[in-house]
Amino acid sequence: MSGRIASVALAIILALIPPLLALAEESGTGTITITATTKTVLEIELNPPSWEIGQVGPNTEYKTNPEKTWCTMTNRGNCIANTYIKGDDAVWTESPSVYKWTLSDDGSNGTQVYVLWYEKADQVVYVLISKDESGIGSEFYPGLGMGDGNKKQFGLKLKAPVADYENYFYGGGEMETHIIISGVAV
Amino acid sequence: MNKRIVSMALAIILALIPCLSALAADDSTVTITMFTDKYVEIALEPTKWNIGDVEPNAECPTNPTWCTITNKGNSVVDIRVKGEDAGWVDNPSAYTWTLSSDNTTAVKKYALWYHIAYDSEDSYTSITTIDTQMRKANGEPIQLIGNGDQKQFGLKLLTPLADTSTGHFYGDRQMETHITISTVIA
Repeated sequence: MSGRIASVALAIILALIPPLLALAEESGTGTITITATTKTVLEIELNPPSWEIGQVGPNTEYKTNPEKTWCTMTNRGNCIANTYIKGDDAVWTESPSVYKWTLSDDGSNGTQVYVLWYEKADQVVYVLISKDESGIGSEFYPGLGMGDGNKKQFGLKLKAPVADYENYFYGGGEMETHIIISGVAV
Repeated sequence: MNKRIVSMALAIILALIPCLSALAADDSTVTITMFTDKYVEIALEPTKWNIGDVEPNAECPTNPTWCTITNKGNSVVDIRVKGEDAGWVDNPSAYTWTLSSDNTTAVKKYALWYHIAYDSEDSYTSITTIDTQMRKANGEPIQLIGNGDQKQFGLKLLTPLADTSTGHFYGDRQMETHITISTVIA
């Protein structure tokens, strides 16, 4: 009698095992991992991008107007950037190799030597702009954040070369120079 | 004498009764039943998609046969798919791209699609955060019929729109997301 009971119980257990296994394994999954790196975009917007001084006389200083908020610099890229500033020699647009003004590196002008400065909107001191031919320039605004909420303003000052009418400071010539502001991703 | 014969005959009959009972006895049967186990397992190859550098609003497709899904089990299975938001690997809670649910992208919102190999050209189906049956363009469900059966598919990702004014789509950030492929017995 006990042998029959044991047999029936064994049959029930054997019959139940497959459904239990099936319940435990009725899901197969796999995962695909996707990675992408956002491209760094560096874009410094300057507004306005040009300063037309007009007629200049020798040994004379010229300031932008408004003096300290003339130019607005905005980071239009997608990363915080350290910015740097440097200047260049001014050249006669008709023949740059024939006549030029060298950018001063000590704040003093001279014959065929002119000076450039910038002044930040929130400061009261003019800072010399130098050439730094082999480098990126002097630190300007470090850690410039993105967008309109982080824009910065500054003005410029230029001092023309000393007169030497016999050889230099020719009249009627258009001189052109550039200020370069660079951004480096932080 | 008769008494002795009768006594012997009775003794033989009594001795035979247990043996006859054993010969006729209890022909009971043990019935064993079982079901073959439904085993569900799939394999994906490959399981990683490194897109590399991406720009805003950029469409990034794989080859239409980029991923092969293989039935490693012993059952007919339906294939299901779901996606998830993408997170910045360095700090997932600080910067995420939400997975689109309507095929459109926006600032901080990206889109994913799959394309079944050899289906109608350019027929892409949206992958959302909702677990959904994979289907061909005509609605036919994707199934794997038995062990070894394979299907191939490709993926397409559209990156979020840029919004540099508010600082979205930060540069040089590795984003990561996952697609889960699952199976259920058909």
